[in-house]
Amino acid sequence: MTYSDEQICAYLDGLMDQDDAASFEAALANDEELQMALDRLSKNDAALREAFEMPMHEAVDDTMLQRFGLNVQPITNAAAPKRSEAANDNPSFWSRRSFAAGGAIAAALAIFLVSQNMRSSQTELFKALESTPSGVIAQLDDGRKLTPKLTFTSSDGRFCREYESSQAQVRETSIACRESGDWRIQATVKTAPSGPSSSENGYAVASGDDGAALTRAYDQLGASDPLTAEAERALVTSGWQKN
Amino acid sequence: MSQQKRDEAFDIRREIVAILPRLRRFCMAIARSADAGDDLCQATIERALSRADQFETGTRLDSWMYRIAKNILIDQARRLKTRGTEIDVDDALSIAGDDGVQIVERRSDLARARSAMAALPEDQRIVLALVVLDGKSYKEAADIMDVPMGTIMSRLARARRTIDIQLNTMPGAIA
Repeated sequence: MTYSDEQICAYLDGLMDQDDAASFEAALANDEELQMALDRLSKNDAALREAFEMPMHEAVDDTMLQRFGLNVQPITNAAAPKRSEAANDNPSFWSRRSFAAGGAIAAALAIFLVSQNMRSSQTELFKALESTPSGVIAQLDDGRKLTPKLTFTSSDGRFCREYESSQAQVRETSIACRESGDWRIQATVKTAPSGPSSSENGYAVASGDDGAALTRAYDQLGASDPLTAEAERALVTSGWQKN
Repeated sequence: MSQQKRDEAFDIRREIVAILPRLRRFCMAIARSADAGDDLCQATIERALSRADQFETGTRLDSWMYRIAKNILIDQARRLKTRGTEIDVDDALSIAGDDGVQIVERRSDLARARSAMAALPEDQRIVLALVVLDGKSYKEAADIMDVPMGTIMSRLARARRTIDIQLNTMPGAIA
């Protein structure tokens, strides 16, 4: 067999010019090894096509269109972006509080207590993000474990970190960016089912409960490549000062 | 978002619907599992819609979206590498279907083909998906991958060689 893999592929893909194809076919008639190689590769290609043909046979119905955000309806008003399209659809600070109160006094008390917990929880979070290197687990006073995964910069120059936090059966992955000396959560997705809702932990699920939400957040932030461990260490040491 | 941008997003949305099955197939093939493929497809569509004004009318929408999907996949892989985690290559696509011994055996063959694809390096996986699954020419694949045609040819040959070993010489090879 005198033909290279690249040449056999070119013949298989119909991309060999006419003269070369004629020579190849002449060789093929007398070369059993070449025949077998071509036959195997051709069957392999067919197996791959069959293995991935499932999406080609699934109906593109309303459910699927909705799933991919492709409902074909003209947008005629200047309404706020849909939840799935918003850069950060965190509810406002107070709307994050999910509490039931029968009256104004109960409501005021609940606001006070929750906001106190929130402040404490956010302070813990701030400290951990500020000082914990990626890959190291920080044990927070409120029982949560927080593990920064990586650090990057956003296109507008902020430092951002992806981190995982866990408490009891709840595990979440979030992205927070440093802004005006504070860490602000940009997106949170649950990475383990069950357990209390994330809002009970002091913040709300930002953009959904699947991996696409994080990808969306990275996209919207214009994330850089992850910083090296050395660069991250320098930032932690300097209190996140830019050079 | 301006009215013009919204109109562009609407127009492109209709065109994306037309290529959705192929886009999902491409994403599933390069993302190594059905769920990851649909996540990638969703992220690709979102990015395309948010940048609809960057799409040049008269050029191929499928190639533009494959390029977006490829870029997202590479970004994700880079982040996964930094995290030190890796996707399980045995997390092959699940297929709904019929019962019976022959079907089970065939499923096994298909699962082997998907696993073989998943085990390839991502650049080879993408080239194989473009050329073998989607029927793109080497030139089109080179444009999408932003590499010379010679690189496409060598990646394709290496990918096919590896697939051949996986499917025909490993235990349980497809007859």
